[in-house]
Amino acid sequence: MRTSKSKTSKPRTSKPGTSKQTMGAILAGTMLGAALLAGCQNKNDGASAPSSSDSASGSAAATASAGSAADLPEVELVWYLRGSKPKNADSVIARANEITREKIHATVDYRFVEPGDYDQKMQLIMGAGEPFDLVWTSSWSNNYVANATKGAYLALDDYLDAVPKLKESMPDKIWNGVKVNGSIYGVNNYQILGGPHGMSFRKDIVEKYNIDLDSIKSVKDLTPIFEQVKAGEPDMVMVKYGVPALLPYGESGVPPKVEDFIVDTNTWQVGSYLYADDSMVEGYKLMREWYQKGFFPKNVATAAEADQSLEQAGKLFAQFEVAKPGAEEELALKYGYDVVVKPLTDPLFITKAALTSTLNAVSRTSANPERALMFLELINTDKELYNTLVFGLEGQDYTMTGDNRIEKIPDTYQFDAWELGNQFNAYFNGTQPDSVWEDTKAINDAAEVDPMLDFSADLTPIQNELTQIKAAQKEFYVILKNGLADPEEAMKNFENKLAQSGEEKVRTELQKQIDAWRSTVK
Amino acid sequence: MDREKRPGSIARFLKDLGGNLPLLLLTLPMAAYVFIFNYLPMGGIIIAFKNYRYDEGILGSKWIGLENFKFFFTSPDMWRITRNTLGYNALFIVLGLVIPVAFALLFFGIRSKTALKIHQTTMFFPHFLSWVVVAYMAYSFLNPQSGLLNVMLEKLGLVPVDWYIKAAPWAAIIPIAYVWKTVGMSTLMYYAALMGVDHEYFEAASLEGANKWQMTTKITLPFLYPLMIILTVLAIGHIFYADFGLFYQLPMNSSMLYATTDVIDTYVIRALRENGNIAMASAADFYKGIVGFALVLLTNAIVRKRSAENALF
Repeated sequence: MRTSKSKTSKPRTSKPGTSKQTMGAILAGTMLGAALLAGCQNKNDGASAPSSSDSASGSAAATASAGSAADLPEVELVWYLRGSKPKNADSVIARANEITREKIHATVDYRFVEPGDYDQKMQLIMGAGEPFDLVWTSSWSNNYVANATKGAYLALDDYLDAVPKLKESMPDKIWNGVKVNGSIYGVNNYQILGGPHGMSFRKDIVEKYNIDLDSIKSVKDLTPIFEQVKAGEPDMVMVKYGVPALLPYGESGVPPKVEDFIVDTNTWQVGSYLYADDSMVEGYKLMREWYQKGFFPKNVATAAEADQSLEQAGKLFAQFEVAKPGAEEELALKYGYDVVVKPLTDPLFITKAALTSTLNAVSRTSANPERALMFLELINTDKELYNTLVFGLEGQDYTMTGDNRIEKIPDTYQFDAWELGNQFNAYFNGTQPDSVWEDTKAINDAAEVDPMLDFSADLTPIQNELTQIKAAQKEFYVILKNGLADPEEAMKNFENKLAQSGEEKVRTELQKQIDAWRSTVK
Repeated sequence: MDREKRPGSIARFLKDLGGNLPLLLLTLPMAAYVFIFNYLPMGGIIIAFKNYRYDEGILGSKWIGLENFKFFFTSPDMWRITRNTLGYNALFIVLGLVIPVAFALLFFGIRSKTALKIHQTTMFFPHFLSWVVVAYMAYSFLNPQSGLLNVMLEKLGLVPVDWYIKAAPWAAIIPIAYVWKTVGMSTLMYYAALMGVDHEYFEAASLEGANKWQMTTKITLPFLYPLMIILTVLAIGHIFYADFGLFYQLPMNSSMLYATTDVIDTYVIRALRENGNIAMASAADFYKGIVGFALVLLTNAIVRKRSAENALF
């Protein structure tokens, strides 16, 4: 029974839930205490960041110590990496820090960030001006060019003279290719540059169904194979997501492009938007067929492409890959089962995107840029440090089976080698042929260089249009490449939106800039 | 509101202050919280008018006028995201008013303490779940592989539906999820307001021969009007703020559903996530804030015209 508590209380002055308010106030008080602390901390960060960057750019390389590391005070560098923290990471990092402490008097705080959070987290860290030293960056995640343009990274040109071994560890065409507006902002993790693209297939399934992989000449030829496997293994997913052409380039090679607008390098005319190009539409139609035949996982509309659960469950037959030398061993390690890799394109030529596909940059907020460079030199030239961070510790994570060859112990430390430095310093893993690095270098040397490599566009006048185009691309590409909707219908909507977003204005502007650039070349 | 200016108002103010000191102290942490987190950062609004660079900072970056607002206003998706944002929020305001008030009135009629607590707690519980969790709960119902709903449809001999590529049903799924998650909290607020209603009103009314319905509409409901108005005015101020968690997580950001799920916030993150243009994102947010502020003033003005005592300020 409800009883009235006081005869005189009037509804307008009544205080419902007074005790709740008190609780709220107490809670708020507690939160405030914590918040104030956090606030102060941020303020300190903000205050210290600009000053450290000022001193860094001011002193430049003149003060970069060429003397022995022993004279240097010990510092801790912070390095942000894209990937989950590996197993046994603590012991491996302890060992890596022993090496770096001895050689350059520095230890590194390795900060692993989940791939899905990486872009956003780095935006926040850089936006807040948080002091850190090194960051992994690329053309496809934590955008290198955009961040460099907006001043997040330190220009390295002056610093590089102090670290000659780093400079010499890779060819000049790489150093030139990573330039943004004429300056170097990142150190490439030297690896395969122009490797052909292809597919990996589960080896046991290929053998079970006696599949002739050599019959595959293009993506189209996969359809009958998938039909055959799907009929025999109804529980299995054929591919995780659609790729309308082998990588969004077409099988004949990569067209040179600027901001995803194809450029004909014979006539220097800016052509169609890549994702709406006729060659892609052909691919979209094929992907629609695949979708209807059930080759994709049922939840392809919402699944994350980086999700590895299908591989872990052993339910995936094929994947799109870079078919570089040694890929089979590397992938077997990653997936936990043997695969056969079949290259399906010619080696691609070296584009800006390829050269900037994996780099490490130095933050403008770094208090010790010289030391950060020394660390980059070490990890790119010191085999022991590099292999420790890639493979872990001998005995714990791998066993030495030859002079330069190891056997991984399953389910132990493992981190993406391509984020960490010069891949040609890696031990041979398992059955990787001795020639793997020579083969890779041969491909790199033979690969043609993108004729657009030196061109960098000023995107300021078309920022709004590009932003809208990007939004349209993000909406429609996932639909089209996974065959979720009728391609003709979806293409019509896509093209409409591109036109409304100012596709033509972007093309005209890019054409203008390319013409201007051409007139300066020769 | 109707306080008159009197001579010696400063002395009076100090006296009031002394008398209310304990209460004022209690509000101090909240006031400081609002000041630090809602007012201090407002200076950062200038970023919306600048070409922001990491190295030049907020103050040092160049002014570029309204350039940052352009991408948003000229977007081909402008109509879709505005329609969805305003449409859903208008619907949420109505649902968030009618349903919790109805439940609060029903609760008010429950005499058993245990029954009341059970109902309240069960309805309140979803409030504590984040949208990410709710999204996966919905996913376990709706997903095309093993979703409960599709399994049930199949058992009934019907064709299963891939909910994540069909836009139309989401016009209903989103409001359902919204109500499910928020109704408990709002009901509690209205119910708490009812706790202060003096029982004598009802005794008097029943002596006069009023029936239950009359008591509800003539006594109980009017007690709720002030709270209903306050919450509605505040909700109208947020009409351009789409609940990001709801619209991004629940549909699992599936492109096929954008016709009914794409709102201003999801569009902004899609367009800007890759290039990370903080200034453009701030411009979009600034615009939402300004429109919301104007709407609050407008709604309040209308309320004041009709019944001054219920107006917010």
